[in-house]
Amino acid sequence: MCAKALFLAVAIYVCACARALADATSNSPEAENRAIIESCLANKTKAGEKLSRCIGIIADPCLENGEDPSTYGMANCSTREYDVWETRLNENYQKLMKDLDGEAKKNMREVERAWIVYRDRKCGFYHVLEQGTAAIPMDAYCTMTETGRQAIFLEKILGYSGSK
Amino acid sequence: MLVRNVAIVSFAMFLFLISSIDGHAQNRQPTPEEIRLIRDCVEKHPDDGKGPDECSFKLVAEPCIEKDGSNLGTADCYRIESVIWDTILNENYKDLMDAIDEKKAQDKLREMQRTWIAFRDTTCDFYWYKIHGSMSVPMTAACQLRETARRAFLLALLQRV
Repeated sequence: MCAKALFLAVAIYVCACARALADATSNSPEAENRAIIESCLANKTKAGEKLSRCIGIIADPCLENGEDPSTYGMANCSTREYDVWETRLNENYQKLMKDLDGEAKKNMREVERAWIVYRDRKCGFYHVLEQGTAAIPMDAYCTMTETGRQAIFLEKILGYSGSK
Repeated sequence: MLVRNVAIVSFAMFLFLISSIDGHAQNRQPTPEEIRLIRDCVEKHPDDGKGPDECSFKLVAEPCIEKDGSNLGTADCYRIESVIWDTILNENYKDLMDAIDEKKAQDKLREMQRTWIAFRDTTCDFYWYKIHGSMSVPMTAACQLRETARRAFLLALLQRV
């Protein structure tokens, strides 16, 4: 009897904790940013506009408001949005790889590899031109933009059905 | 003898005509007017970020597609505009290279350009592997145009960093 009551108490406690955790996750800044991008993409799709217009939707107002005008603060504006696109990119890539086979699968791997090298060389080039900390927010914004574009590219590719 | 000569000349003219028609359809170079349209637009949008949207597709490729919207015609219109962007890109690349005096930085620029070409080609060619149809031909050509125009603007912008 006592063991039963204890089990019930533990079960209730675990349930409550899990719920609190779920609430915390859905209200987290990450979840909010994700929702902003998702609704932007849905609106652009409905309006028949370019999905790439959503890139910068979190970083741009953050940079304009200048809450933290230090170089790291500015870079952080881009990183917040980068996180959302990076997650989306990985999800789309996984879906595509499941969808593709044979030569197409091999080629997709090559596309991703070439893209990562290109993105890092391109965005890293700001450090070559600008040797101070000013390159940090430029690199961050560039990395966010390129990741967003690639996530959208994969999203479009997913939408095309082949005639194989 | 005369009949034979006339026949040879006629046949040669026929061959010339065929090759020039074919040449016109697939190897047309951009006209001075098309080049001017793009260059004027580029001058108007040096660094407001609107350049790629305002200056690519609308001015040359789209009016060209209105005249021949077939799959191959469309792809060729994208190719014609890409020729213009490719020239601008090469000019901007050279200017940027000249503006950088350090050898190490020049090497980085060369490397960056190489990785861009690899990215552009693997990405734009991927449409074929996914679609496996003739629709992928204009999509690949549009992708090449989009990326080349974007790149031309970036190389100009980097000169001002």
